[in-house]
Amino acid sequence: MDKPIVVVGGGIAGLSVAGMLAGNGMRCIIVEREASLGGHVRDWACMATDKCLRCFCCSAEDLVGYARSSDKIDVRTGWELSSVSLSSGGPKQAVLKRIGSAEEKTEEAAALVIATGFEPYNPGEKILLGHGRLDGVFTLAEMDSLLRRDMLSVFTRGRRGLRAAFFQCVGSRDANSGANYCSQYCCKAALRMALKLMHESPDISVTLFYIDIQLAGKYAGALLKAAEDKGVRLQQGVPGEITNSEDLLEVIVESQGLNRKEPFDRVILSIGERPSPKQSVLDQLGLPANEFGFVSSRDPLDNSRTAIPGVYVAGTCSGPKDIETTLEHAGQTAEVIMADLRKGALR
Amino acid sequence: MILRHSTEVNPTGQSAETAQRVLVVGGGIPAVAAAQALMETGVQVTFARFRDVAEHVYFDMPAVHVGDYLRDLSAELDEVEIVDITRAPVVWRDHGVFRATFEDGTESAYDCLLLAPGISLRPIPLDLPVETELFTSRIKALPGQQVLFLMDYKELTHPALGMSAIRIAAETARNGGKAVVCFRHAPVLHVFGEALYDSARKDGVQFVRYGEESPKVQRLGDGGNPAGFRLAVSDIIDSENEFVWDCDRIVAVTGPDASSISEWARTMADGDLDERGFMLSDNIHSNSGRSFASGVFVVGEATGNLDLIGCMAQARAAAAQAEAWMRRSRLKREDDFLSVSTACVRCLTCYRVCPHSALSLQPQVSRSRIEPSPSFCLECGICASVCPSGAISLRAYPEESIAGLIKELTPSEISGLTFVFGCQRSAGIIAESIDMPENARFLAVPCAGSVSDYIIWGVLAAGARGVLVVGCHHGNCRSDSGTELAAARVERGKGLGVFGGKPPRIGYFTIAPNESARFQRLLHEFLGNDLP
Repeated sequence: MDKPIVVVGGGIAGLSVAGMLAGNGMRCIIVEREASLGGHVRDWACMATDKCLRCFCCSAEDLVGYARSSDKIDVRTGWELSSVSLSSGGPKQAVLKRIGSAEEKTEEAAALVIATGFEPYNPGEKILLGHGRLDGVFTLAEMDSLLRRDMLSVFTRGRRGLRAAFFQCVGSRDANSGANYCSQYCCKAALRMALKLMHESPDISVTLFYIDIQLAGKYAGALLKAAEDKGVRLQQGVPGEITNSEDLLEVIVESQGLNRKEPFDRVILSIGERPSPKQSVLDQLGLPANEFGFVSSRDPLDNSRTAIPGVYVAGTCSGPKDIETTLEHAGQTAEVIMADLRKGALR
Repeated sequence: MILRHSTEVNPTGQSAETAQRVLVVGGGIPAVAAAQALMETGVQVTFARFRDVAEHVYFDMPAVHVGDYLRDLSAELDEVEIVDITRAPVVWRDHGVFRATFEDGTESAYDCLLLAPGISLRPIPLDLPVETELFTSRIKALPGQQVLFLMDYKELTHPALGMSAIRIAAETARNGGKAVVCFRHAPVLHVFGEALYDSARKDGVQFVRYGEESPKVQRLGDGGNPAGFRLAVSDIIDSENEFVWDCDRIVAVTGPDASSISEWARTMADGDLDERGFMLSDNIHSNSGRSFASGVFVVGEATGNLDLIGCMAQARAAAAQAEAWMRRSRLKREDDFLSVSTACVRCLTCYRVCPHSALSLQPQVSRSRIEPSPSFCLECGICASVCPSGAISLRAYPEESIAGLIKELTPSEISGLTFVFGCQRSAGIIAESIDMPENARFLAVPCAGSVSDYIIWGVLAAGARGVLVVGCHHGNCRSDSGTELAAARVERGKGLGVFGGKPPRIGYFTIAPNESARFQRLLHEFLGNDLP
């Protein structure tokens, strides 16, 4: 079993699959287009207040460190998968190409893992929400990025007593823009961010507008309880239009069948997860996608294998997920690869 | 009852066999999935199976029949030794392995434990009519009946269970019945969640959304047969008017009840629980399904609001984790990085504080002994930091390297320096990528909890300007209590001793490895430097 497993994508899903396979003695190649490993999570911030809120963001540092130091993992940043040849039993050869050059390398692959991640929704598409136009409108990812750089002052601008509003499902559960699904991560991420903001600047007051709170996954109940205890105002509602009025934001909230205007100082939009733009190699493989554009797995309860033997998926490229679910999905992918290789070896 | 192969364990605990052995205890889908996954990767599995597990909390998938799927999985357990049990085996740690005694008196040894204890549903709230039924996987469609599915009553419904109820409501409506689903939050898990909701509406299911005000349900008539009920609720979306509906049956949809987790599972996993009482099967550093208790993995609904897709992934991921863990622990068993010398005074402090159960007590008639189990040890060094007689020798323990470093420095060099002891899993990762200020010397330690009073005061006594201990955030310490231990030491130290008429400069904070900017701010604040 000397042939490596080729993992396409160096985000937490790809890193986790490779890390677990390497931990079980298998050789992997991680192919990542970007210059650095870690993907989106590398821009996200720790949500700990006086204790860890189990956001799992810091797991990226562990995973990157492991991939960089393991002699079983060959990291190729700045490379992409150019083509794959298939045999009946699975992938045979993977041709890797260095981005921006003609350099190519052919690897005999034991298996191929697609872990190409997601694309965040661009809230600029919803012009009425004013993102990119109004100073006080942020996305959850932008808040993460500010906290990560210890620059919360860009958000508060020294103001005390800020009224902040979170709006959920921006670009999710949105049939009009072709994304009629829940992005799975944002209820918990917004609750954590609300708790984090109240911890960092205790004079802030937070309202969280939701369509429906999805209390799925581990620790979700504890987060909701903590938010209620801390006085986060939880309201049903979606944003209609956000306008600037002097120093504050006037928000039209569509709530319970009525439109009403509420003033806030800052607005944070929970943006949805969209499928990664299609990669030519996926077309070449003929991997089917579901109606929303995520890579289809074999069936919902065996969702690390694809229709093609020897080709696997891990993480958000197969559907929206939070970090913890992504790590578990990646762990499952590693397990089924080990099982399939063992069966093949026995045969 | 299937007879187990006896697994020979010699007196030193070195198994004659080389195969890895796992004991899976539990029942239900996660246990079966984990047993199958372990078997597939070549691990020797004993599955101690409870026939009568707590209610499954699942929802049917489009295109997959869960019952068939479970039967298929069970059929593939051909290489698994299955033992049907009515009582959990008694499990203890002995010479680096787990020993289990089953109810028939047989005993076996294992490298690791995987627990899937299952969970019961929260009971029907007491203020609902006594005839109210609890929604479980056994509730089937109710053709021709008028059925109310009541969700989020008193406490929010588990979304996966809510989706399951919506499917049953749709089936009821399609078969000549009438179904009303009354909720506060529509459950829309996975990419097919919205579609389920839309199709149920097309099938004729009526959805009523309520707000702060709970729905009122009362029994009609005098309790004669058949029972009838009246629902009165304000629908906050479709109208401000009260929605009143008479129905034949009420089905309450609740969620997992953390208080129902079996005592045996809590004991085996050393009782790690989150704020809601679910089993804290993992922390950030140890990933899927691993508890703080070394070598114990917990999967399934006892770990939180999981659905079936999540449970399957978690069980398989935990199987892969368990295999990697056994690989490492087998190597460690042969190593001599942890030992207890004859200087031991048998105070048992180390035995009490070890978060990984790597030190066991060997009862003896004259004097009991502390016996190290390297295979369970994560080398956090907490034991060595509390040992009053210096009897514990741990290779990773930083005391000697710190002493060596101090010897290399002149007193004048030391007097200008603040020593920063940071956990290698958080601050240590940050320190590798930043420039340390000149008036600080960073030392990565295996855990903030390993920085003993002796180290702190030794450094200060050598004339250092100050000591700063940096741990992982509370709840993210891989050694559970290490970060609290460090905080308590520093807090206590601030109130002790005076050096040259001045109180000692000692400090403590917590950090995550992705908080480089915050680390630098807090570090410079402590050092009294201007931020670069």
